[in-house]
Amino acid sequence: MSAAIPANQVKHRGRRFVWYLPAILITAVFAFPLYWIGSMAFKPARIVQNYPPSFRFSPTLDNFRQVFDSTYPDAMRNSLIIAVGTAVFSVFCATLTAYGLSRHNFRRKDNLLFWILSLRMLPAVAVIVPYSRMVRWFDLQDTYAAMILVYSIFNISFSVWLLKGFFDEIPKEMEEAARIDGYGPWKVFTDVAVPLVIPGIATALVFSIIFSINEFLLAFVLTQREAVTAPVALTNVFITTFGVNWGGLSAAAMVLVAPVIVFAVLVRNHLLRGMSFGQLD
Amino acid sequence: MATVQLDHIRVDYDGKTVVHDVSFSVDDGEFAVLVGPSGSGKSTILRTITGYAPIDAGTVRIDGKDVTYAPVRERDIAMVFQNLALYPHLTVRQNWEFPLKAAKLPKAEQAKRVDDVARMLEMTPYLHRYPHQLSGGQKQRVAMGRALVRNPQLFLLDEPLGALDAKLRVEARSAFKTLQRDLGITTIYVTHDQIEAQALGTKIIVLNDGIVQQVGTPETIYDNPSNQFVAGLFGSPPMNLFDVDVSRDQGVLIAHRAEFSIALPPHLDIEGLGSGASTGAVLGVRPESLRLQARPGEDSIAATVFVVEPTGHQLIVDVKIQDLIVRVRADRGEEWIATLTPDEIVHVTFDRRRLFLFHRSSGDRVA
Repeated sequence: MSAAIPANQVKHRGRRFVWYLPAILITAVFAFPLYWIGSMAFKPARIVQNYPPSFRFSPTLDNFRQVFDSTYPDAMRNSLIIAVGTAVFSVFCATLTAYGLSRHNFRRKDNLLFWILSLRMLPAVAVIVPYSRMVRWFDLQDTYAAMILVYSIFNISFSVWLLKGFFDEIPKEMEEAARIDGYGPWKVFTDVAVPLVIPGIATALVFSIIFSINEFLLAFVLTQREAVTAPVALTNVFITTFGVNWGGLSAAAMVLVAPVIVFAVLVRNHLLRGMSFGQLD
Repeated sequence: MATVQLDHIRVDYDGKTVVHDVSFSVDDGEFAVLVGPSGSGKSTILRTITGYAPIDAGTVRIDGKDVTYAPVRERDIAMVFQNLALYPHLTVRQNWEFPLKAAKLPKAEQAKRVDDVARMLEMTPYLHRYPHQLSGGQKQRVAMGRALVRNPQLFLLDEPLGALDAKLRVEARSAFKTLQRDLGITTIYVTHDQIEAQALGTKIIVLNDGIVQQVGTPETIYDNPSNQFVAGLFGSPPMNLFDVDVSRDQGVLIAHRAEFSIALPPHLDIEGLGSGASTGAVLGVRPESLRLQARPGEDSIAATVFVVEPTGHQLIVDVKIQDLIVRVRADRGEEWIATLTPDEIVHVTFDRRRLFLFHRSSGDRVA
């Protein structure tokens, strides 16, 4: 290997590094909380609250042992069931709704579309009291069904908008061709339209799962024992009247966040394609 | 195989009539071409046959059966779209099996049909590829193949060669003409390209503004255009059209304008035009019905060469009679023509047997 690099390439590399610098700084700002949680999760209990913080310590798994000995794993299971249930239910409904809205024109369609989007804009605090009344009327307090229904209100609206964009992109000739080929409307939907929007469906599922895993306020009000989700359990188990168990809290947060991060990294290509409203060839 | 009959079709869009009272029929095995400029309603008419354009009046019959309001799948039609509309998530084989699955054919029959079509279109090595892995010409054949595997009774094509480059277009055109003749499928083909229409069709239906201008064989359309629009659409370069005043002088009609006067042959006669009276008209003459001479002769008109365009064995010569530009198609065979340069003086004669005359107001041909 020759060490001689042309002068202009050196300059080029130098310039590229200049552009990386702000990117690295910005990333550092956003990544710092994750680092902080991660380091606290491995700190022995007696130094967690040291000030100034100790950066050098011998890591321990005690905090994780506490997490798995508590009721937290049950809450994680609840979160998973609710997240997957919400994702499947809301994306199924949204796919049907988005297809209908994409293919048919009718009076006040714009108003309907805006109303659907506005459901997503509602701050949870604004609707939490009526929602808890409604859940009680239906006798669904502290159940998976209640959480899935309430989360779906937010996720259906987002997914409808996302998927309508995808359905709008399908050339109408593609479906006309399928009709001429001898298929009825339902088969055209399932065999032509849906396969073409799979990147959109994947994106909608991922967003829905992330929303449900992260949501705190609605779960805090609408669950008590049986359906408690991980973010709520985080506070129940580790923030007590005797004080805050920082080590346990951090370890629990890591356990919650790590799979989401791994998952997002795995599907990131799909997500990017989804967010750019994946042009069909 | 099938016949198609359209009777007094009318289609309105947003309160505007885009197809006016269109009637024509296509015989069994015939290759019909709908040709016209964009916005002439040709695609809409095709869509009335598939059932995708709402028909406001009239009837569509396939094989004598009224299908005006029948669902698409009862019509046994195959169609090739301008954008091809291949299913991007399916391989070539799956694209072709798609209509066969709808028809619930046995698996073995499906495979046999796909293999037959692949052999016919020379696509066998590409059956496992996805559309985005194919070239433009191959995609085009996949679209054809998807229509052909079904053995449809009627084949509809909407500008199917539009996406190809010039050389491929000509190749695909002749390949398709052979295929259609061998299979004998009744075919309706939409294009805006008059050359394509003439090359392919055994029957040409000329449209403008949603109205049928003329129906006929390529020869009839070219030799006997029914009006000024048809005359101007066909031919490359197009027919020369001049505004003239026509008057009768001792029983003979004379077409007159500032640059020249020409005595019209007896078959061009405006009935009811009295002696001494005159009327406005449009005189048409195709570039190949004009002759260039080096020396003045009987009835010749002097002109100067303006532009010379070589087109292989022929030349298109634009000459100016005073300020009027006239297009002439000339053979390069004569040496003095091959060496023509701008500003040279030449002499033009009209082939009087091949003149066309149109009424100025209606555009209809004076027969």
